[in-house]
Amino acid sequence: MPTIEVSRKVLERLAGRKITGDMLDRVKGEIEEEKDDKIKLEIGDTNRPDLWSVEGVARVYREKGVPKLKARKSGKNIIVDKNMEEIRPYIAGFIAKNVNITEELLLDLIQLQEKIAENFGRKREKISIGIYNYADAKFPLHYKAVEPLGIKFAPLEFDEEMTLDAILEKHPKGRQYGHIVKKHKLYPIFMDSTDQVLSFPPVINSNRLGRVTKGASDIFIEATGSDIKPTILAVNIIALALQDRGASIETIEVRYPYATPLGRKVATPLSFGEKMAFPQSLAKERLGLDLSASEIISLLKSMQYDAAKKAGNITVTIPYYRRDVMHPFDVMEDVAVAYGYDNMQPLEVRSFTHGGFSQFTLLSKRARRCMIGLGFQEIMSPILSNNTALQNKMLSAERAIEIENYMSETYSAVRNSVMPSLLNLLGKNLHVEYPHKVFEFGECASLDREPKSEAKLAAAMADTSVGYEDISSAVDALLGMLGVKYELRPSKNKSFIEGRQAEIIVGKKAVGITGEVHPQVLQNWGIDTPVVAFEIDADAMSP
Amino acid sequence: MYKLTDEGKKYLDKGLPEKRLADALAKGPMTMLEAQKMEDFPIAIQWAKRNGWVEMAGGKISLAKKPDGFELQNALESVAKMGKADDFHLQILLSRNLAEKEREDIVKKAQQYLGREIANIPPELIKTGLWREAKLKKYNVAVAGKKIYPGKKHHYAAFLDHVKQKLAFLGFEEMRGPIVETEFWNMDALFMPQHHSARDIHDAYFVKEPKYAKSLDPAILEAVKNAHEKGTAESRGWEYRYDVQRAHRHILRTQGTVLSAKTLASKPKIPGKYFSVARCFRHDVIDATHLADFFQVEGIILDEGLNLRHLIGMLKMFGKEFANAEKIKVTPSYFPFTEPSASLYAKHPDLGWIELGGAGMFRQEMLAPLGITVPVIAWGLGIDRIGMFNMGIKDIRDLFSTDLNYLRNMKVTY
Repeated sequence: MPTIEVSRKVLERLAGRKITGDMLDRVKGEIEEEKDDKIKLEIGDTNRPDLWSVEGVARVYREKGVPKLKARKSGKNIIVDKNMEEIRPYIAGFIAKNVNITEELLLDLIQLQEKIAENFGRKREKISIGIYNYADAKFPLHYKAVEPLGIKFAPLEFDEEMTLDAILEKHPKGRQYGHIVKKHKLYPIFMDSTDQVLSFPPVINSNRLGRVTKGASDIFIEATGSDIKPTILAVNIIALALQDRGASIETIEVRYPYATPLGRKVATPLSFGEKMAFPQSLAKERLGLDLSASEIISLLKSMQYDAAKKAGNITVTIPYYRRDVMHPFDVMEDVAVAYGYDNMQPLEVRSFTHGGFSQFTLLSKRARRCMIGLGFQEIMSPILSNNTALQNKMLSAERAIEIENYMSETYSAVRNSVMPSLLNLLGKNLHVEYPHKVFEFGECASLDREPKSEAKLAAAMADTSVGYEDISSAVDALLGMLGVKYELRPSKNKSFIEGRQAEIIVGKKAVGITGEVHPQVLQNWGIDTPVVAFEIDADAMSP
Repeated sequence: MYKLTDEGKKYLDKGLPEKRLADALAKGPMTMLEAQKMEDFPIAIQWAKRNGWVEMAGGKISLAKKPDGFELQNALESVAKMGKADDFHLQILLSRNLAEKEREDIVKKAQQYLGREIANIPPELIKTGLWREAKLKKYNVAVAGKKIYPGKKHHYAAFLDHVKQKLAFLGFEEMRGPIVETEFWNMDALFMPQHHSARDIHDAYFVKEPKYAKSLDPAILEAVKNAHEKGTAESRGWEYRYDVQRAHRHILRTQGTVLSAKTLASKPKIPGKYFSVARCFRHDVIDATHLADFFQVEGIILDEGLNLRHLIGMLKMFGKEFANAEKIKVTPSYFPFTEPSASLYAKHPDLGWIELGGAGMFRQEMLAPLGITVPVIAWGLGIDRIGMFNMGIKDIRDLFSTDLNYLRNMKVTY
């Protein structure tokens, strides 16, 4: 969930009212931290980039209906190269004039740019955004594809000119975002009509033409991306935010040499003018609210929709800075939010249903009760483990399911047995009064032809004088109480001492093992008393 | 100890019948007629013959061999005096019913315990009632007992049992499923687009081998694919190219909601209530508030006519049931698979408002491909957090503590 930092002063000035914590339901927001004037605000909706700025939050408390974006035509163009269709096909942009770029506004703008590109733009893969000084660039601008070694410029924070390949290798942003362009033979470049580089989207801006400093008054903004509507959406959101801060917005027309869903000439910002029919009956059916059409329309306007009644239906205009409204239920939720969840009378679910436990839970309850009766302390362990614990320390060759993108080696495999969890615990409690008697009824997964999830019960006893009979008695008592007929058959499991171990056989199938743990295994776990243990498949204990 | 029977006492005075016969014959043979007039003759003749002392011929009875001594008579005397005899002769006395085991005089025994301070109370004192006169030592009862470590449930497992029980009481039926899942069930079926941020390598754990599941139900796969690409009735969907191969990718379950999706896809009961307590996995740094391996409690309610007010009512009831909270609030929220969505908060005396869980009505784009036409309320509780509050645990890692002392000393709360 995006967290933004806003100034309370600016927020309340833009909203035209005081904002208290309980009003933040409207933006699904929560104050994480407030210090002096700064509020850290978490916005719950990961699909509403329009709310990820102080301007966007303030708008919700200020506007009724869709706020107007008063964009003039600038007559300026961005010309797209035909090779871009296969690389990063879409670009959109606008000019913002008479902005008084203060330090504070610049930080707010950069924050919005980053939140959109990182969260909504999927770490720039789908959308990236650049901000430039209007005065520095000569229009028309060109968005084109170049050879990685065919051009040189100095990226932000670097004085030295580098090839695009060098930037991907040396610049921190190049290393971070380079993978997005590396799969292509040609790389995107954004330059002005005098062939001066403005930026290398989506990686980095030029150090010379790609920076805005405070005091600037006219700037322009560009977004590139893989889908046209989200790319324009990003531009719409930023344009409206800057207008809210007093800027005059002018459109830039993008000229494509290929067809796009919106044509070959697309002036941005652009209102998609999307409308949706909202059946009035939904309020009653799905929200349990008796609302008239005019009440619904008034609630919708307070959530910045335009809405009008038309033949039993309400027609809703979706704001041009939102792409999250894909179904009338999305509109319906906004009606509920505007109405206030607090103002809704809760209803009880009256339908009668039979409750009950799964077979797993029923068995687990019985088996655990038996183990507790036998004097064992139940333990609970992570299911994530590693090959050192599951194989090396156990002297086992059985492969476990491994995790490809593990975060720490400690949790890089899924346990295929509960025994290592028990031995791990015993090894950490040498100073704790003996005897130790522990068990766990837990989930595991094994690598069959397909991954297979299963549950196992394992128990261990550690003390200077424990021996095979102690654990075979426990097995006998457990299976006796559960009514499971079993036999013991000498086995050769490397984790146990030969001649002091047996397979537990139920219905001719080996379903578990019991015996004295091998001294080498004990040593591997740092245990210095004898340990006897058993492990049995949960399935085998079912009636 | 042994004592003589009445018969034994008689022979002690008079001598054993066979001894008396032998003594009489020592003076000379007797006719049978004479002998039969002797007291206890049938017994005497039986034993004298068995001992080889006498012989009978021509109506006369005479001594065959003078007895060496009368050991049995001695044994009789020994039992009378000392209550015992050598084992061989004692067995004969017992078999002839001349001696019997002496009942212990428990009164006598009990009396031995009187007049001095005793610790453990002997059964004789209790049986005879003499405890009334006994002097029972007074203990230092203020000393705590010696520590023992009985078997018991793990504290968190006990809490989870309690939660399951509560949900079953509330009419919810338990769902179960595997910990290794496919992206399809874990996410696609929940209408989470394949490019959703919760699906990248920094959020979910991907299985190294085998990477892909062999098969998925083709009809459901097709329906879900269409919902993602083009939407369902009234919806425009996510508008992107759905990657069928990726749907087969094996991952570790990231959310319990996968079980709800599977239940919905397998002809659930209507009305129906289902729940699960599911171990889930996230690519997270482990600290005091995060585990890579954690529990989620999730559930669904299916019925005609359910609306947002039912959902709010249910969440408020959960707040009371599970967190025992006085003050509860339900706020708007966001989840990719629900619309409308809500979050449940409870007021904690020290920590302020705490989020207990999330809920919502499943999106039409999720329900339609699974063949569900009634409204479905879905909810999830951050059960680890609720459990920690209820048990007073500050660090989530203590749920998986390996400290045996800690586990042994943990209170039994549930």
